Amino acid sequence: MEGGSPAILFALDLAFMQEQLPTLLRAALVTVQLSGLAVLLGIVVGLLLGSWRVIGPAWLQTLIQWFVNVVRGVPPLVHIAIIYFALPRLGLVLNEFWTGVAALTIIAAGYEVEIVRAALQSVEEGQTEAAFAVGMDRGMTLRWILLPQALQRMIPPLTNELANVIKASSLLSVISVKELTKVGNDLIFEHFVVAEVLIPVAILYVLIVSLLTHTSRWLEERLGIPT
Amino acid sequence: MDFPFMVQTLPRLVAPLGLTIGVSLVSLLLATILGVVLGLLRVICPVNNPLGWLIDGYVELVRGTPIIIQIYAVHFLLPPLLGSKLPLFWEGVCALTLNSVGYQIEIVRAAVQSIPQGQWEAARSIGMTNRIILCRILLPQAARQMIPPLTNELSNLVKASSVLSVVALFELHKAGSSIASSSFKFVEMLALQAILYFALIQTLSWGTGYLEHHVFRYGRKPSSFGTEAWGIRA
Amino acid sequence: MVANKNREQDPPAQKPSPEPGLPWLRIEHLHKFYGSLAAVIDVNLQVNRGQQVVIVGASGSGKSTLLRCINYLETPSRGQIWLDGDPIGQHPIQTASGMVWQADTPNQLARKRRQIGMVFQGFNLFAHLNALDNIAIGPHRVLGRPQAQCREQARALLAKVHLDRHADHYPSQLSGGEQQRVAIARALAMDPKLILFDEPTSALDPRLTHEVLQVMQELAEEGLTMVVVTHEIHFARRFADWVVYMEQGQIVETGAAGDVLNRPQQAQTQRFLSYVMG
Repeated sequence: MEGGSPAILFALDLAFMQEQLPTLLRAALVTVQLSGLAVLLGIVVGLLLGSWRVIGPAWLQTLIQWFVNVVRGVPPLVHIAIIYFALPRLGLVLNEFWTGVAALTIIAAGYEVEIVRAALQSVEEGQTEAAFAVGMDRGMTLRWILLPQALQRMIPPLTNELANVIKASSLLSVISVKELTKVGNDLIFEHFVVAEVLIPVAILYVLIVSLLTHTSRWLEERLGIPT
Repeated sequence: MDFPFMVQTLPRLVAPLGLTIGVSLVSLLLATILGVVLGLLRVICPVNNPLGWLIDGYVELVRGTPIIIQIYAVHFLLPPLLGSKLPLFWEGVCALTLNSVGYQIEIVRAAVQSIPQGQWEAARSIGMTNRIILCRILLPQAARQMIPPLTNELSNLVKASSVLSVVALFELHKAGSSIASSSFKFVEMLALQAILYFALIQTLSWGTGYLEHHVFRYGRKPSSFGTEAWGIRA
Repeated sequence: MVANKNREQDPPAQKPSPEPGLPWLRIEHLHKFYGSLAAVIDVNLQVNRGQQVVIVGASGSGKSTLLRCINYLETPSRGQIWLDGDPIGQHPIQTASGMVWQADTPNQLARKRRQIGMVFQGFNLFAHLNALDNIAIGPHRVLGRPQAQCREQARALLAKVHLDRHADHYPSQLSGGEQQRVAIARALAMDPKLILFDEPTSALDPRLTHEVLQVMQELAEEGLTMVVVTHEIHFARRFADWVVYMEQGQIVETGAAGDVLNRPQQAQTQRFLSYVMG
């Protein structure tokens, strides 16, 4: 690469880009599938653990907080490597795609527990008191009073999280999951082109992320509690 | 798990850990300066000004792409642009700074915009110039809002720096992986890395709490809910 | 109705001699401490069925804390509460060494709270539900009655608090006075044995205050048992059968409303009344 000139940035090989576009689009679809699955599974885990984190017994709350701290305190790349090496040792042999989904789910869940907890705890104390006063137990209060109000507040941070998970899915390239970054990376090393690959890859990521952000704003307005 | 091996290997990870901290700290410093400047520019920028579009576009691009792509871009595209290759450390600083600036512009903007309009009006009413208002009224209050997200930003950069392993910067993750592949002690090395990162980030997060409760106690508390101070940075 | 079999299970040690015609609500030696701060000190109080009791006192006198202890939103540090012969917040159990009191589990507590309505200073209507469902959710979700029936009942209750036309308004679309009346209807929907009012009008302006007090007055005339913490002395004089004056966590004076408010015996009560009456 040394001794080149800025010209490579401007003299793009457009024919090559056009030729590789379908490959990159297919890879982008894998990225979306990976992230979508991880976020959906992550939301299930996040809602469950996040709810227990708020109304569960003290020991369980502590345990869940440790899970959250460990997930957030270690880089995603290290988690991915751990899952990659640990799953087969636990007798769970998955292909690259599902290993990727598993790793991303655990990472996403760790962050989503916090989102659920924060949203539940942001509901005014008076709502819980009023629910207790009409004789609801903690489970009913959670189900009928706290969650319905918290769900709306979770949407913006959860979309953010989905965007983050999409970006994090790029790290799965290090364990050879054939998603957008890995495919782009392979193209760079096969054809010794850089800008022609990085530019469309970057644009695809930006498109996916901003599409999601807009969908979420729309959702948020649709689900709004009148104020 | 081979615990004696883990203990023996620990000294070999001290220098890479230092590199992780170094690259993150230097990037945070540079990114904070750039972020404050660009963030303030963005706030005072009139609506529909090309400078505003440019800054917004940059933020959108950085936040819309994975850090690994940004690292590849710096690694592959910077040398031809500069005509020479940067040392890996500075390449890493470059990538992390460019990334962090994109997030910090938003931190600064949110912090400045969270200061009530009444503060501007009160300052003008006693005859302060814009410059004095900015330096003496807005920034000190914005700092209160910015400190927790900024310290979180350092944690995010520490985590993001692990991705620099893909361009062979010998930071903690790269060092751990290379020792693992030469000794075949994968699980041990991963556990060791996880412990070191975890200890580092917990320390930083306690530091955040300390700053928030003991140093920057004045002014309104920043609302941490909904901010992405603790997002996955990747 | 009043003599309840639970009474007989009370351990002899804690049980004062049972008198005939037991009070509906009985509070005995209630204490509440926050660390070293005593918010409520040795409160004893009895309320008969159908009676309206008003607790007055300066801010910080412990009257709201006392009220919140009655349905265990605050856990009392010491003391016992019975409602209709049923101990609230704890229950006697038989062990090898005799009867002992054990704290209620959250679920047991939830069941007992169904008999006690509460109206809050800040209304605390469920923000995601309209007026009708705010009232219907208790009977529907807690008592498991069919939703249609609960909504029917809720509609009737809304009419009772003069809000029939606001059924599908959300709390944010209602005035403070309207919100508080919905909150009263929500409490009524559980058909409670007792309703607690925690400064129900102190967040309202005088006009809205009037419409809430009006509703409370009507409920009193129907014979609902109510314990009310309020600053409205004039209202208390009209409304209450019994008045309790509290200062620094202790009951200073109790008696019939006319006696306490017109002819207070204690110097502290006189000082407070002359201060608030101007």
